[in-house]
Amino acid sequence: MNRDNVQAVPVIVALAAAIAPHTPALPGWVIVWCVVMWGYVLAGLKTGWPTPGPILRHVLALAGIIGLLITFRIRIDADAFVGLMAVMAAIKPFEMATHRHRMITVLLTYFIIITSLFRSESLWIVLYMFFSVFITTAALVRINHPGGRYRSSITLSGRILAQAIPLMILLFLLFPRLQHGLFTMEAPGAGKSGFSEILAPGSISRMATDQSPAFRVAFDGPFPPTDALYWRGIVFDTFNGTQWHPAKTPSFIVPDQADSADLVSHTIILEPHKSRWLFALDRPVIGPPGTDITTGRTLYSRHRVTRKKTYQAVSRINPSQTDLTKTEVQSPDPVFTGHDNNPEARLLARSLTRDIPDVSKKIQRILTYFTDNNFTYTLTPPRTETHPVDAFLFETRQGYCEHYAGALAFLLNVVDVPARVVGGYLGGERNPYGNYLTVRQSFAHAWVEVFLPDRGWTRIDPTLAVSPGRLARNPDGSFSYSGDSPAVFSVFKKMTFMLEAVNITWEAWFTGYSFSGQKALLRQLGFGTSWGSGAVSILLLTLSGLVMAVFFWFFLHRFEPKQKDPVAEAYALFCKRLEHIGLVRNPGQGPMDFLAMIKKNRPDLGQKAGAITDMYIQIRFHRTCPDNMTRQLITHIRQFKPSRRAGT
Amino acid sequence: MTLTRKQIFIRPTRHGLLFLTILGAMMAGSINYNNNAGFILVFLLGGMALISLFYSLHNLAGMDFTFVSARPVFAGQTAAFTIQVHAKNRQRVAVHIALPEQAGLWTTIPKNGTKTLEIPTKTTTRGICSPGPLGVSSVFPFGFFRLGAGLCVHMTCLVYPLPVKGSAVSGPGGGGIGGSAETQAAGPDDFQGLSLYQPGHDVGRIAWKAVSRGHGIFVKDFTAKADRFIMLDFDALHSRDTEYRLSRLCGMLLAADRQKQTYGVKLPGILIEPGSGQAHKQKCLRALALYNPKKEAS
Repeated sequence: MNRDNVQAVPVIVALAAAIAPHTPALPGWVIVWCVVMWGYVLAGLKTGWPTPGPILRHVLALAGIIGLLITFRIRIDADAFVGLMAVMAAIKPFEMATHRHRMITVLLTYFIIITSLFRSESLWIVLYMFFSVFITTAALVRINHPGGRYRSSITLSGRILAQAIPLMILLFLLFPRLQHGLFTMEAPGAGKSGFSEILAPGSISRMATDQSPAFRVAFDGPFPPTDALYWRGIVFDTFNGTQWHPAKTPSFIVPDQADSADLVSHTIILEPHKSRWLFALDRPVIGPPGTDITTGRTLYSRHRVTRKKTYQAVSRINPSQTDLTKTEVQSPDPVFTGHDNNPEARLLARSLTRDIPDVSKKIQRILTYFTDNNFTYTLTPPRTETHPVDAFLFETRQGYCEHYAGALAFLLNVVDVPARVVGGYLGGERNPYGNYLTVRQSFAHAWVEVFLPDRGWTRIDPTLAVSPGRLARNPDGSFSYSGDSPAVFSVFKKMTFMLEAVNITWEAWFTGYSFSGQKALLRQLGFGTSWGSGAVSILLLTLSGLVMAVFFWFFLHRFEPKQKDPVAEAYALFCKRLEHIGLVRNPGQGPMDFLAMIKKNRPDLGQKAGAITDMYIQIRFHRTCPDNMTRQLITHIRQFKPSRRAGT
Repeated sequence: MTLTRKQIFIRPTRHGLLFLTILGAMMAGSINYNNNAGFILVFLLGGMALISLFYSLHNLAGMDFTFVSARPVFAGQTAAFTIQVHAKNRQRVAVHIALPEQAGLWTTIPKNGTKTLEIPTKTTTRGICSPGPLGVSSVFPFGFFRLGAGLCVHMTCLVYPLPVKGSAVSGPGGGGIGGSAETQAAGPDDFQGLSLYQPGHDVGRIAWKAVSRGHGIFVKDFTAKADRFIMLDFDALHSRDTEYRLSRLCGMLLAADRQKQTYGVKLPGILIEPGSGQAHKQKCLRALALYNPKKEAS
């Protein structure tokens, strides 16, 4: 290996730092691949192992791509893209013998850094981004200063980074944001899907052990009561014999925004789930911009949620008749449940509710059936094949919320009571250090809504009939949100809560900062209180440009070589004052000649001008002169105020 | 000569353009996905690139260049201009100094340090070589922008004609100019005696025996017969090409010098009396280098 490869070291360090945040998403062999390749280059500096030639490099590249194709099949998504970058970055140091290659690798590194930001915008990732930029920039400085010291490269990188931060903050605040994206493409690392759009036995219980957060909620006012923490997401109102589905094409309503005391405003930070459902407290009245409210009273985004999404919603936790739109007042048809499926359940429904005219009583009768017949609530229900309702009711009698909700809705619709299943989450874990709840995937829940002629759609949760404790306890055993719970947290748990609280506070502000945030900022500064979006955008763009100009000007002057010659400045003042009275010093005229000219034209100034000239000459041309001479000269010149006419 | 800020030009390098392209792509991605962290990175990198510009400016401005000397060369050889570069107030990193169309060299000068550098340039024709402006540039610290200036430092180098070999054609050495028998010129023919060594004397003529005896340094004097000196006569060469004739004269001159002969140069309007030694050689070469037929003809 030649000496130039020493230059590859900082570049490899920068590459490794940039790829590190991707490691959870990269296949294991890609990480091993990177470590082996970089290790070989670094070890080669000591051992003198040969650098692979172009043929071997191409073979390696091909092998890497084949490996990726095997790992990712034909799935060309963000993770595959990041994998490709890592594979290529691993073999790139083999051809970094020239400055050009090193520069291109550093630029590639900057690009890898931004891809990690599309994976997550958490506080830790953003802080790490600064570290990564710092390392990469130090490498960039290092390769542009052959023979320089690492220490000076690192110092310079840190200084430039620190100096760029004020501009970065201002531009971040001011650069106008679009309200919607330009084009849609799957963002890298978009999260896993949470809620499925099919409700069948097993579709929710499979999430029962998934402790990853689904979303977090902060309330603008006081926390609502625990029994109101139903997070509405999807309404399932079609049944095909085994599964419940939402309506194929959702239709939308505009609910009346009647003022009411029980409105709860809350902010939700939703993890990406690749669907368009937005979760909100049951039952949402006002959704965020870019969202519609379906006839099932769920929030439906106009775009798939492929990135962490922060939004505000207003819900009414005790829906009443006054809240209903005209179409909602009329009783809907019951859900068509088919004819042939689950025959025993149909018979049961008819026999249970025979002779009971009242809808509420019918519901009560069925719920009592669950409690009286040894039904149990379990996270791991046995699998059932055909006729799931029959199998659940008469064979297993064990189920998770989707079994109970699905069965209840089925039974009610069979006896012509309109009922639908609502999917979402129940409960929340309160973080003692932040005023918010975390709702985990394991909190996923399904319940039933029944149309009562006097109240409209009303929530009935059959799971509570079987397992009343579900309301207070989350499936993982944690207490649902109660701040004064008797649980004593371990130190580790406390730390986790604390770090999470810091991060959530950051994310709620940072990822949620958008065009509306910018408008609010301008309003606080007293601009554009009643302006349209276009005008605000133009104002923001202008301010951004202005910030850049000021910044540029500031640095131009900061680096201006300072005039630090008080003697020259003082003498220039002396000449300027004489110029005012018509005695102009020629460009090449020495101070002695100038003095002679002054004496000739204005004998009255001769003495003072002579003293000044003597001092000036002594400071400038004599090796030794008293220390206070400069000060004296300046004082004399300041006091030298020649009048236009010769005085007496 | 001091490099001032106003003289400095700024242009992006190829890598700088690539960086801008990547930054643009990052910006487009951030706008499209409303990715605030992406915006942060784009503004950070953009701001850093902007600030690097001032560091680059700072790196070059205030550097001081002084021409020292340049050793004469024959046409076609590489002339080296010795310059002194002073790094006022701060370290100057990875500065590239080159003459037009030449490779140049890189240098880093410590704070308030001075470096003496030899800047090479190819010569083509005889005469006084005055290379174009001294190109000073640097891409430090990021390599995204090249900042530089062309400094018109007054530098000269004497370029002798390209020596061309050929049979010696002497002018009428016996007769004509200085052809009398009494004329003596230091030559290699007949030993005449010793004389005190003086700087400039041919080292080969030092009487080493005398030195070893401790008598001091003497040189052996030889007498060349007056009719044995060579007169390098421009008009004796039968060619119409002035440059060719000068090159032939140059070649003959060098040959004569090597053989320690006594020679003189005769150009139209210029006569250099026969002589020998380094000083004489340089005087003659200088005459050949600076010969201007038009001027002499008028």
